[in-house]
Amino acid sequence: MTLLASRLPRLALVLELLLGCFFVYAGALKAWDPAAFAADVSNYRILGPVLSGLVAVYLPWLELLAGGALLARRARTAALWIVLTLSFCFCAALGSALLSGLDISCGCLGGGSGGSLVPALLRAFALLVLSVWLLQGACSGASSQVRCPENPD
Amino acid sequence: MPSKSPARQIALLCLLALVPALLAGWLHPRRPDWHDLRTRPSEISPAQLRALSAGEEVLLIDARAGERFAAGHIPGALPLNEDQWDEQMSEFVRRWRPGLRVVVYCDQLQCGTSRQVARRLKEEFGVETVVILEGGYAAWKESP
Repeated sequence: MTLLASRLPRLALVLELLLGCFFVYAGALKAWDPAAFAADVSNYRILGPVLSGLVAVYLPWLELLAGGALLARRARTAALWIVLTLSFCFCAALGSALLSGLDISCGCLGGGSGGSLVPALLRAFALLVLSVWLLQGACSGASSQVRCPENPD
Repeated sequence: MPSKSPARQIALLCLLALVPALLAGWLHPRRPDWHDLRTRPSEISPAQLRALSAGEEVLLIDARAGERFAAGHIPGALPLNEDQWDEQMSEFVRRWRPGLRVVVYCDQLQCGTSRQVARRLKEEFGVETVVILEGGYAAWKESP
């Protein structure tokens, strides 16, 4: 199977940097107002009020660090795994909200950022697909210095 | 050169993120109100409200905008929204007494307005017995 990410290194690099920029941007917006973000997280009715608050203070910094790692080209595989996991969680939360018929703000770009859930879900899915694609390229094109699950050696 | 374990790097990034997160949760001027998160009003379902209303007097508060209230509301509900708070407060003061159960509702499953009204009733009037109607007016209409 051809893995384009390893064969189109420049495209992969640009997309990876864009992915990093997005997560740094999104993380910074959420870190700016954790209280508003906590209200948005709580609105999904998945976590209780206190857990929503804890997620609201922690998640933006995880996004910032993962995005920053991608931009700095350090710990790229680890950062991509974090970005992939976060994107998956966002897709799951947004999907759950849509299925429940919740009329809420996404909170994806900071508290009260508004916006419909459907575009947010599409965006989260695109980020998920992109991070999977980049991760496959990182693992297949990497040297033996970076160990990936499918290439344990 | 030794191989770099992504798992270790993932763990390291996750741990590093904890440091500013803990500081933010403690010192950020816009940090979540941890006390409020622990003590926010509980919710009751429409079925519980009907059962409650059958056994005791309940003061229903409609937190929606005026035109939504006029279009339809739970019988006996009192309009009290943040936009007309001062004008509508007098009727609430007239009907409320200490110990009376207050149930606040807004439109549907997730509506922040009812929480804000409930919070103001707690903070400004010391109303401790205030709860939110789960699902709001939409859920109440659909309930048997």
